[in-house]
Formats: sequence, C-alpha cells, structure tokens
Amino acid sequence: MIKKFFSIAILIIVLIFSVFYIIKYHVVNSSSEMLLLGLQEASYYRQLGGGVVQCNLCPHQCVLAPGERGICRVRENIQGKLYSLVYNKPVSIHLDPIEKKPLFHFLPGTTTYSVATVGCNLRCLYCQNWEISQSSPEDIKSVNRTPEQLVDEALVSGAQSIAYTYSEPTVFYEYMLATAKLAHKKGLKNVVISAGYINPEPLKELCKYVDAIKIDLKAFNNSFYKRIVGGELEPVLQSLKVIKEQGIWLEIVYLVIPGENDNPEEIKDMAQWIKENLGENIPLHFSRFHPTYKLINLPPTPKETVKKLRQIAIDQGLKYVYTGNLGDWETESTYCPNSQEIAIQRQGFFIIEEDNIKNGLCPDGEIIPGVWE
Amino acid sequence: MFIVNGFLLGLTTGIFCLTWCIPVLLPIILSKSGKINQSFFIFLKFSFGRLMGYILFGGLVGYLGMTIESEIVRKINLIALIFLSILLILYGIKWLDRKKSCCQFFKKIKLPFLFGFLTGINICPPFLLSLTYVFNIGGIINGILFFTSFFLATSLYFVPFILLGALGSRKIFQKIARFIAVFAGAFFLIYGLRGLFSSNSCSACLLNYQNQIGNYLPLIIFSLLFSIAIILFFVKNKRNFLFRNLILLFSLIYFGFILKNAFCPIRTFQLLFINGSKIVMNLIPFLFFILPIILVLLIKGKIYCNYICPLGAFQEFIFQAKKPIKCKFLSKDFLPKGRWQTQFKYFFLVFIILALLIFRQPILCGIDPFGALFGRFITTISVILLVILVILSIFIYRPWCKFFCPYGALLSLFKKLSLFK
Repeated sequence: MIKKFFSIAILIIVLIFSVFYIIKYHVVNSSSEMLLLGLQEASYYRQLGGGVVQCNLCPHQCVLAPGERGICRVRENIQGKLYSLVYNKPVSIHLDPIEKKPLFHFLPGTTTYSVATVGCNLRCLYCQNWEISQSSPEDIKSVNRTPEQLVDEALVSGAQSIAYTYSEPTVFYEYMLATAKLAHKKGLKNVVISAGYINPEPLKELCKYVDAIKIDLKAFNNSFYKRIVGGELEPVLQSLKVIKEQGIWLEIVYLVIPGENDNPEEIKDMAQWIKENLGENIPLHFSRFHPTYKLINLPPTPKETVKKLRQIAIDQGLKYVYTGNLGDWETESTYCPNSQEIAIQRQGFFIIEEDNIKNGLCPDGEIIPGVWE
Repeated sequence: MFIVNGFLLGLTTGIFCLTWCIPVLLPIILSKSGKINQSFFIFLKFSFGRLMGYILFGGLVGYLGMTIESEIVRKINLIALIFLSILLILYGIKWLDRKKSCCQFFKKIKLPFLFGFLTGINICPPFLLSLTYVFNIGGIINGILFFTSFFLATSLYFVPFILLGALGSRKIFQKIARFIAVFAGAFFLIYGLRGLFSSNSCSACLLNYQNQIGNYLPLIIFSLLFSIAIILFFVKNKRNFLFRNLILLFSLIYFGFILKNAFCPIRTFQLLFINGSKIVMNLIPFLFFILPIILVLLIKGKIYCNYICPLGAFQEFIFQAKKPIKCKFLSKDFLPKGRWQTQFKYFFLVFIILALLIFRQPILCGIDPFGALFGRFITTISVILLVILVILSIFIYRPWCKFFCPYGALLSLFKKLSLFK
C-alpha cells in the first residue's frame, strides 16, 4: 500500500512538473522572438533535422539539441538554429604593444587595438585570462560595439592593427570576421592570437582577411592536451599547416610548464616538426610560466630551463627562437641570421633599439622574414 | 493534393493535439469504463464534439471575417479555456456525478461531447493552423477534403490512448484519472486567467512558430515508438522479436546516426548533477529523460532499454549477429558467476554520481565510445573503447547496459517501485 502510494505520488509530481514545463516552454518560445533580435546566426553549422544542429567551427563538433550550448559557452541552439551570443559584445578592449602578443616580426614597435569576448573552446588549467575565457555571456558585463564602431575607435587610437586576443577568437568567429573585413577596407591590419583549435574550412576563410596569426602550441604530446588543455594536439598541428599554406605570417608560442611539458626530447621533436612542415623561418617563443588559475601548486619555470629549451630549438636549425616573460634582452632580441648582429633589441614588451634593420633588411642585405610595413 | 496536405499537417502537428487534448480526454476515458469498445465510443463522442466545435468556431470566424490573431478571438478562446478548466476540476472532484446538485443540465448532455466541444473551440493550435490554410485556398469542397484528412491524421495519435481505457477497470487508475483531471484543470485555469489579464501572451502565439514544428519531430517519433513498444510489451505474439528488432534498427539509425545521439538520457542525467536548473529549460532532452522513467514507474519492464535505446540496439545487433555463425567458442560464458553481475551497475552508478558531484563535468562524455560510433566526438580513447566494446558485446549480452550504463541502473531502481506488472 505504501509502495503504491509512493509511486502515485512520484507520478503526480512528475506529471505536474511536465505540464508546468511544457507551458513554461511555450511561454518562453513566444517571448524569445525579442531575444533573437540582437543575435547573429552562426556560420559553419549543420542542421541534422529535428531541431538538432552540429557546430562545425572547431574540432569539438558539438551536437546540440534545442536550447543547449556548446563547450565554448557562447554558441547556442535556439529553435533549431545556431546563434552566436557574443556578436557585438566584447568584454575587453585595450591598446597594447604588438610585442605583448607576442609578435616579433610583425610591425615592431607599433600598437595594436586588442579585442576579446567571453568564452573559449579549451579548458587550460593554467589559463591566464580565465576570468573572461571560462565564463558565460551572462556572467560578465559586456559593452556594445558594432564592427564599424570598433574599427573607427581603432583608427582614432592610432593603432596599426586590430588584434583578436585574450580569450579565444575562434569562439567569436563571426564578429572577428566581420570586423576583419571592415578593418582591411579601412587600411588596418588584422592579427589573430589563438590556440589554433579550429577546423580547416573556417580557418581558410579567416585567412583571407588576416595578416598575422600567433598560435599557442601548448605542448607536443597528446596526453598533455587531454589532461590539461581539454583538447587534442592533432587539430592544432593541422591548423599550423593550413596557415602556412595560406601564406599568412605565423609565429608560435610555447609556454614552458616545469615538469609538464619541458621534456627536451619533445622540444627536439617539435623543432624538427616545425622545420619540416613550416620552415626554419617561423619564429618560436618559449614563454615562462607563472602559477595561475588551477595550476597554482607548481613553481614558476626556472629561467635556465627556458634558455636551455631555446638553445635546443636553435640547435635543431630554427633561426628565430626567443624567450618570453624573462626580461632578458639577449634572448629576446632579433639577430641577423648570418652575421649574428643585433637587428632589433628588445626588453620585455618594448623595443630599445632597431637601428640595424630597415624594412626587414639587415645592414648586409640579409632578409629577415616577417611583415614590416 | 489537399488530402495529402491536410494529412501531413495533421501528422506533424498531432503532438500538439496530444498536449492539449489528452489532459482532458484521458480522465474521461480512464474513469468511465473498463472495456475498450466503451472507451472507443467515448473517444468517438469526444471527437465528434471536437469536430463540431471546430466547425462552429471556424464558421463564425470565417463569417465575421476576423483574423485568428485578433483580440476578440483570443478572448473567446481564453474564456472557453477557463470554462473547460472549471468543468474539469468539478469532474475531478466528482461534483458532476451528484444527483442532488443543481446541474441536472449536465446530466442531459453527453459529457465527453461537451468536453470535446470545448477543446474544439479553444486553444487547439493545430486546428487554427489548418483553418488559416483552408481560408487561404478557398472553396468549400477543398476545405472539407483538407479538413477531414487533417482531422483523421490528428486522431491517429489518440488511438494508443483508447487502449488505456482497459486500465479503467482498476480503481486505482480511476483515482489517478481524477487527479489528472483536477491538476490539468487547475493549470488550464491559471493559464487562461493569466492570458485574460495580460496583454502580452496570446493563446494563438504558436501560430507564429509554424516553421518550428519540425523541431518537435524527434519527440513525435519518440512517443510513437514508445506507443508501439508498449503495445508489443502487452500483446504477446510470435513476431514480437522481429518487430522489436525493427524498432531498434529504426531508433539506431534515426536517433543514433542521423541525430548523433543528441537526446541521449545519459547526457541529461549527467547534466542534472552539474547544472540542474538549466537542463529543464531544454524541453525535448528533458522529456527524453523523464518519459522512460514515468513509464517504468507505470509498467514493470524497461521498455526504453529493450525497445528504443540506440546504444542498446548497437550491442544487441552485434550479439545477435553471431547466431548464424554457430561457433561454440563465441557463445562461451567466461565471466565469473555471482551476484556481482547484477549489482555492479549500482556501484558504478554511485561512483558516477559522486564523480559528477566532485568534478562538475560530464565525465562520461569525454570517453564515450558511442560518441566515436555516431561521429559526435572522435578521440583516440573513445575509438579504443569502441573497439573493446564491440569485441565484448560478441561474448556478453549488452556489456555496456549490463555493467556500466547509469541510466539503465536508475531505471532498474525505479522498476522496483513500479505500479503493476
């Protein structure tokens, strides 16, 4: 008897809830047209039928039922269509030196107008910008900037380029693409700072409007990507090849975490891979790790480790290998490849001297590859 | 042409008929009779009332030349809805059955007919949809043709519920039916009053989302498969095995490979522990999760697992495939015997729940072998697991379901509470 009473009680509660939610859902539906007004439909997704969509922007390839959001937290399936929730809604706008990105062979000494929205398709445990990258659009107050306003502000600020950076530009792809197209028309350059976790087709489309890309290569082994980054290595390598094929200026940053990805053998393999697939002229930055977010139990990387890894990469035949976050001018400066004279002397994010270089030419006529004007 | 159009429209929008009409129809069917033919007559009366309501209301609207979304029509709808809800509540508390009551009036009218008539007049959105279509094409014969086929198609969905009339012979179900009537009445009342006093929400708003109806297709197919499965469960037949395989195959292809397992209840189950408030907003995945539980509470048998689950279907077909091969080695049972075989999944369920509460991440999704199978998310680990799963399912009947599936374990737990065998 108690059993039956119990079951009936559960049944009725469930019934009440279902009816309640069905009605609620209909009400939500009827008011959501207002909501859709400010949203931009996403590109690169496929409707599987029955209201289910699959996002094809990044290698996660999220399958989303109506009302669900992707791993990036900023793309939602609303009534069988995928929408970007961050279009026109940046949360962070700054004027930065281009060396901070870091891009060393791209218009050195200029400033870049840096934009970011919330959201990221990765889950790095040591994320530097986790306040914005690991948040939902509701959590953080954004400002309203259309691509037109953004480009105008960038022109006023005196920056020579617009950088899509801080969190992960892949997740605000539509916004980035619209702004980049406009910026190109107005004579600004576009710079993308990304982890490269994106599918080849959208990347190729993006490459038409972009002048330089910096890719954060987190490690050269898949298990690190799985454990600490929340992704896979292979798509990133694929992206690097695609960028090289499209002829966009590429620089690679490798953040060295002690005990996690500082194995010299791996660095050797990586340098070999870069040389074979991307060429010896690709600048490679070894950056020093400082404990943040969830990896605060680790110590900062010893300076010697970073310098040692730089030497390994140079020994493998890469021509432009730098260190980052060290404040050491010797390893942060650009040298002419043959004469080993200092072409650009840097310290931190700033240039101390660049007398020896004009439009990418050393005094003895050697060319340093990059984008110089 | 019009016949086909009407039929198709009826088929696609029939699910809405269910959501609006079943709360009214079900109590009448359940509480009145114990025999199927009797409940069939009730259904006929109800349908006739519905049709009359449609025709009267449609004629009135057409004659006055009003648009469906006009304010007056909306008010009429809502008032009819409120009247219907009051009637339902009275019916639920047996007030209408009293002989001494002043409502001798209701005794003379057939109740099912009245209920049908009232549902016909008010908010049934599919009807309004078809009405606009008929007005657009014009012509009486076309209209009638279109309308009849539309009506027939929507009525198809009610057929499984006539069978439920057989349950009415039990007292307990009559009680449940009255509960349903009271609750449905209460909700309709709230909804109607709210609509009457606010200017924003309109009862015919669904009309603006005609294009969205396709989004409910998985839910429609899901409930259809369920109705067939329930019938198969009760009606023992020689060909049950074949039919079951057909349903499984269909579900494997549609829910598995086409929709890429988007509505998997295991996923909803995991999200429930991570972000419970959000998942209920997503109606369809939530219904996919909750409907099998409701059913298992009603009927002692895991109908979802046995007949519909695409994951189970995949393992089932691999296991069955070895039958024609007739190799003795393959059917060897090498697992150690004991109670752990049935109990392991409960321990795993507890483990998963604890892990979910600690990590706050859908941990099963990252390593999901079915993700690799359906092309949802392919990683090296999931591919390796898939290969292991395929090999295991040759030897063991449904290894994933037997030892790991947390949703299956949940259903088994609920099965112990189910109402009748």
